[in-house]
Amino acid sequence: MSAPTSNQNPQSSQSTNRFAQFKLVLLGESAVGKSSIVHRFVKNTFDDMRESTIGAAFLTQTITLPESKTTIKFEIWDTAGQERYKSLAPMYYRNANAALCVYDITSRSSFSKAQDWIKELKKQAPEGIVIALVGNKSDLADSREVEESEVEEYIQQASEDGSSIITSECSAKSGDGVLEIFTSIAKSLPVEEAVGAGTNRNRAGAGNRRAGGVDLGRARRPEQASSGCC
Amino acid sequence: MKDVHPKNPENSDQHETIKFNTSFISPSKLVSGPSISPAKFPSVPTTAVNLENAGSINAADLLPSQSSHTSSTEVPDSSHLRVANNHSSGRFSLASENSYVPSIAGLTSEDEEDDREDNNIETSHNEEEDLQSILNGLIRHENHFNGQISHRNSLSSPRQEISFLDLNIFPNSETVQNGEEYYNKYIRISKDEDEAAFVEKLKHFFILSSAGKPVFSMHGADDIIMGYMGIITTIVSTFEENMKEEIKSITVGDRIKIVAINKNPLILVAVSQISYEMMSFTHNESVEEELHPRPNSLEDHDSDSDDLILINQLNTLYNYLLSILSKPTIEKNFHNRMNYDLRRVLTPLDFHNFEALCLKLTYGLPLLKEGEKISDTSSFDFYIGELLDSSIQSVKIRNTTRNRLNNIFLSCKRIKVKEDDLDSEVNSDSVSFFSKAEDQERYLGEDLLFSFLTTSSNRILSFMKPRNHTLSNEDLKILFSMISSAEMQSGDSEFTEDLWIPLCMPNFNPNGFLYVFVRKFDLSEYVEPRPTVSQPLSIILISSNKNTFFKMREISRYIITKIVKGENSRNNPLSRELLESTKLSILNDIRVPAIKHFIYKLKCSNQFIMNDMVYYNNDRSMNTLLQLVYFYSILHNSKATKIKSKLKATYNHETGLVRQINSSRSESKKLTYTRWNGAGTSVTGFMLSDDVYEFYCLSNEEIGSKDLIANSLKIIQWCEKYRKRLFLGEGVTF
Amino acid sequence: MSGRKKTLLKVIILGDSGVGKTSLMQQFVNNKFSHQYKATIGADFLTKEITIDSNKQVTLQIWDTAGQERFQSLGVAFYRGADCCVLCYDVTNEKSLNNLTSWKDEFLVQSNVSNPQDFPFIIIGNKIDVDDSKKIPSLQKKLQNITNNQLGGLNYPVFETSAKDAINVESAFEVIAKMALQQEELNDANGNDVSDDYNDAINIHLESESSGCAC
Repeated sequence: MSAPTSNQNPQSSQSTNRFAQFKLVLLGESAVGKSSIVHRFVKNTFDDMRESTIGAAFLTQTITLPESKTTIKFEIWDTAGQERYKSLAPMYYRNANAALCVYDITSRSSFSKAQDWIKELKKQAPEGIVIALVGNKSDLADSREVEESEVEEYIQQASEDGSSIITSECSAKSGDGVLEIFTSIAKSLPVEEAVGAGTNRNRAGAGNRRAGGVDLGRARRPEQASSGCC
Repeated sequence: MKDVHPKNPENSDQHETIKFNTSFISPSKLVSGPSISPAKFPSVPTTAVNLENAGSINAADLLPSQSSHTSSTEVPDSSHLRVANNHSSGRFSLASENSYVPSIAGLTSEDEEDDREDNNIETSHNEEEDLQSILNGLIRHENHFNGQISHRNSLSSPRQEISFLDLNIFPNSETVQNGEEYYNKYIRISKDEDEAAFVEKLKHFFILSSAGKPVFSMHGADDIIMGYMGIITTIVSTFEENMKEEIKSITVGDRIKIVAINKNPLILVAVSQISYEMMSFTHNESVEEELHPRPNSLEDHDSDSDDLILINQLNTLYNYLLSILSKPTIEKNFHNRMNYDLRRVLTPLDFHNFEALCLKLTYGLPLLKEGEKISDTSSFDFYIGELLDSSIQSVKIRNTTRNRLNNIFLSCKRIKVKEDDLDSEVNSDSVSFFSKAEDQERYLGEDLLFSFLTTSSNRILSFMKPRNHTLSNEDLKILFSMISSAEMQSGDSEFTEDLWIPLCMPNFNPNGFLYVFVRKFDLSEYVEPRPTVSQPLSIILISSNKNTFFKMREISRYIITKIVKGENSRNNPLSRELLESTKLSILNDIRVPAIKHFIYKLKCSNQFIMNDMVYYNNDRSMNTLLQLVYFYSILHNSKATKIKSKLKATYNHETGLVRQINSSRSESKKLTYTRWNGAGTSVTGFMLSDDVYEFYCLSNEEIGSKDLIANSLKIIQWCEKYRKRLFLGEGVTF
Repeated sequence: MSGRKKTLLKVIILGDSGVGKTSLMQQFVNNKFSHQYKATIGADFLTKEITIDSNKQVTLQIWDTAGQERFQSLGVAFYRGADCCVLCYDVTNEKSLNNLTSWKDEFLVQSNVSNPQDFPFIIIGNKIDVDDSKKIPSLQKKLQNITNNQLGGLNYPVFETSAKDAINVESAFEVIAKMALQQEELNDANGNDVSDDYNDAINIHLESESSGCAC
């Protein structure tokens, strides 16, 4: 059984009867704090000694939007930022509903890298993907290299094509602002649609698939080709 | 060229023989050979045989005149082999280990199916006598231990605590006060800028590009190592350019050995002052050699057994690089430009992993933070595995349990799904349109190549593989190391984080990647009443296709369900069985007084078991660990006495039976006996091997040859009886 | 090793023996880590850290090679993978000035760089502190001739130094490091150094009979 998706979110105690599920991916330069942000969100922990991510990790976490009484489940890809993994990124954002492009506010180069990611997402990622530009390590504001005004400026330019990008700063170390980011993202996602689609597909409590069963009665979809064949 | 070693030039005055080992020059005959420094104890460690006089000893020659010597085989009655219940001799009761429950469950005859699969050993009860005679003969031959052998010293006399310093395992022991100081000065990894300290470290590893740019150095700040990289490049190139030779190794007396391997565009170098690493060591010619050749090392060294130990270590480091980058990537990057800096594609975790590898390859030690104590001995397990020719450690479970797990894996390949049943990973790039058919189904596990169920210490409970592919033990080590390292990053938590790791398996195919899915789950969550100690197991699924994460994830959930709920309505859940059967505490089950620690390796499958290190000295301290590493290294690397006996052991792969048959030609049986003596203390090491197995054991009490042989055989027979439970077979194949 | 990697540059120092390369380097680098083996193995290795553009940290791995014949064959090994090259002459020795061209050519041949036109070179004229009378007559003109014509007209930066005056040496190295970094960035832009092909190790479907594939 998969681990219970426990909620650190105090709001989760409220009952909801609507449910939606989204895929989310974190991108960004190595060492900006992607894994730390995710771990803060999912496990509410922070580990100073963590080194790099190998490959990618997949986690889930659920939050509640009290206003709409909806439970939102995030399926999160925490990707490795090291250059050598760059070409694998499309695999993770290809079906993503949202992407966090993370940079470190004390590193200008990481900000530049985050912008590169946004550019790539706009070109290659599914249309309508919700993009969040997140500046981590706000607890190190003394060593800040990226000013919020710069970020504003960049966002204005980047939004000229009609897209909108959420921006925020946070500190995975202290926890400041982390939950808010995910909540904002949730609010920007097409929740209604997802809830509707989910009900139709009977996806409530997704993850309880009949293991090993053959499911009849589904509309057939084009099949995935085996790689490299024909 | 005298001063080729980056050590203090002061030593250049000594008249030491410097031996160069290159690929086209036959090794010089002036090798003085590494000598094992005598222990600080009054007497010299005895090996059963003087290296020069190593010969085969005919058992018949040494037997005292015997009246009747039958070679008939007898099947001992089962009572002879039944293990004692719950017996703990004084030495074995360990206050510290609560989690070690003597596991009797698997050893009684309750489960008939298990018993049927266990082996009946046909053996001659004269074997024991034969061996004893040989051993006694050899000991007498050495003229030592007058009167010490016949009686066993009781547990009453207090043993003196031996420090690894006293054993003179390493040089310069006299320069420090205690073990910790020694460790900090000579062993611990340090990236300081202090060059004097750098030079004194016992072991160095260097990885550099052929242009001389550093990729990795075990010790030293960048500032220090820059120069050494240049020197190494120059030396290597000097041989290449001037002499058209490839430098393999340089040995300075018996003090230092430098070994280099050329993995163009990279060069890897090891520098060692550790005696047990400089020993000459030949592969044991055996069945194992044919079944499990080590491609990399054979290619590199021709017949130079002198350098084999260090060469194998360097290959392990190189394989790590291959596993994360793949061969074409490394070569392409340098092909584009020679000045490429490979460190650009390495992460802090990679360097951490390199350092951990350096320590465990050399000393069996884990990478510890300042002041941290050893908490898990996987690094020691790793060392022993490497010592035994890349052997992997197995875990004992009941045959029925293993079979059920195997079947669960097999059934994964049969799961059919409709495409849209999955949390869709429809790959829009490679959607293909089938022209028809309402009921197109796919197999969920069609890309699944290998699967493993492992314990938290990376021991395999069950695995599945395709008929025509295998992962070598070297690849498995890389796989498990990488997974451990990745899991370490997620910290210990109750949450599972599914991992998706691209990994190149060098022996399998150094040119491409496989994709590894890992899910950890806690068995104890599914057992009532819930145990206090968690029992994490890992499901490892290796796919050939990078886009199949969600399929693998689905399969892993299926597997867990099958384990915790039972495969069908008739079966009980496996969880409880797994929980109980994986605890290994052999020495609680067999009574073998005075043998504290042992290793048993099954050659044909290249797997081994050994008991927990804690049994040797009641702790898992660095001091104990270093000693065990030393003793076993000596036992393994020393040239053994061959025994010509009338009996030859053969192993029948199909039936799994071991038989002793009459044979006049058996040369594979070997024996080594070594003893270190000191004030009030002694340590005995014993090695016995034949075609089927290699057995090593240690005792830090007085033990006579009779008991040594008898108890060793007892353990060996126990291992052979439970072979199917102890060792993985070929796994299940599809 | 920490996360942010410093850039590492391999710098080759070339020039006739006697121009004073060694004492020049001694002034410049951190002596603590210098190894002097030139007579034995043909090169000294020195290391120096500098900062460029106030925020880029660069480690220089300096290969101070001997000029002697007997180490000629090691050129390939020494020069391989160099990021930049410093050509040294002695302002009192015309021969050493004239030899700059051969040193450069020798270097390019042995190092096999892919784009010789873009490879970063600088020129250092040592012993500038001597009496003018001792210097090469019409030094400036001759120097210009060399840099404009002989050295391929590529106008390499020229610095004049003396062993007593380490400051100019420092600027010289800053310049060459900058040139090398720029070149590096250009190389980066042109080709990825990443594994853009995560080749699959195996195609399991090609292996099984039941793939039903027509290929």
